[in-house]
Amino acid sequence: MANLEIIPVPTRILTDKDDIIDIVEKYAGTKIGKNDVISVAESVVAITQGRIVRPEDLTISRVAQLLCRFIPDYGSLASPHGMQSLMDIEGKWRVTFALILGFLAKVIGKNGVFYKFGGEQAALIDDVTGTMPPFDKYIVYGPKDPQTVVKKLQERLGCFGAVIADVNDLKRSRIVGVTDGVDGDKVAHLLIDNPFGNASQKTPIVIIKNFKQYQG
Amino acid sequence: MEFLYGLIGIVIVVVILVKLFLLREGDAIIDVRTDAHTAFVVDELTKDSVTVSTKVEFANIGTQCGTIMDCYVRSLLPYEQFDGVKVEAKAELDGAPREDDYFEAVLIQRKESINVWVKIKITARKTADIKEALIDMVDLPVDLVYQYAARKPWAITKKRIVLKAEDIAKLVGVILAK
Repeated sequence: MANLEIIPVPTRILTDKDDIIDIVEKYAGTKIGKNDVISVAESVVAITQGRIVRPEDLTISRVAQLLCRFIPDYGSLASPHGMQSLMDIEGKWRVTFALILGFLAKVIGKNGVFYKFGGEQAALIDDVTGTMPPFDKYIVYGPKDPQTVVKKLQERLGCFGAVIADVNDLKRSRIVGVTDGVDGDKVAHLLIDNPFGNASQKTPIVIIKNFKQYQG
Repeated sequence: MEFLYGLIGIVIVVVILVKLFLLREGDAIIDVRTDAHTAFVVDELTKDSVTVSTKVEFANIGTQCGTIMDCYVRSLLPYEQFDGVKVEAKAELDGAPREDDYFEAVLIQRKESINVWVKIKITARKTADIKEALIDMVDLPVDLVYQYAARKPWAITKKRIVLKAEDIAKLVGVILAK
């Protein structure tokens, strides 16, 4: 049986002037086979889609200043600009309601309710320092239409599957978009050690060789 | 009416509880200790220029994580005052030297510190000899400008450091003109 192998692929810094499909093909196209899964970092997909905002360009409301105080200080929504960026996308009242609901749920010992009702961006937004320069000074949203992106990647590269992954050094690994037939949980598990590297390592693409056989 | 009073009472209690919570949680307090910066040292001395640096502690003495979003150094030596040298200055995170003058945003956890190097390059303008140029040097103020954020919206502020004429003269081994 062919060996499972995880290969990080370095690129130059990608910006909103890049097309993520073209870029992945350019840097990984010759390395990927029909049994492999291509994995792309969530924040980099979002950056190429222009889904970024500078804190200086936001009008920060009093509600955002208050609500951010209820998020632990290591969270991306713990700053007024982080919280405002979520409110601008998901709506002020939805976020407020979700936070109150989350607080009440926590009182009875249930976690994660805020992220369930606060909109999909609640768990995807990266605050400043969350990604590599020059985007360390930006808030980066989650990618738009991740399912469409992974489908296009798979079609262009002719590989077994494609995923968009949100992985960090704190052993968090989550699949944001995945093509049909690929077990996202298994991919997430394989990426748990963050082969994408940290902020300044330019490896937003990871090839999982022979994933088809591994998945069985 | 009783319902209305009850509602008002609940609102008041919630407001008080929220205020108490906010007081207990506190915020990041970034203390930029320019008063306690290290003595200037010479990084590089060439025929026509000298580069000196000093280390400044950024301490988060608050109770929440803080972010330094950007940091740079503004030198303040107008040619009206002294036109014998050209001054360039930059801020550099300790342990993460960069040649591009870019300051990568950095977190400071509660009760922790980072150190920032203030680097000043002084180049002779009217002569090819920096030592000759520095004979007439004056005190050189530089502002350490930083953008920070925590639980309050981002803000920009600055702290001043002065490179004394006597100090730079001593570092390069010249005697100032009277």
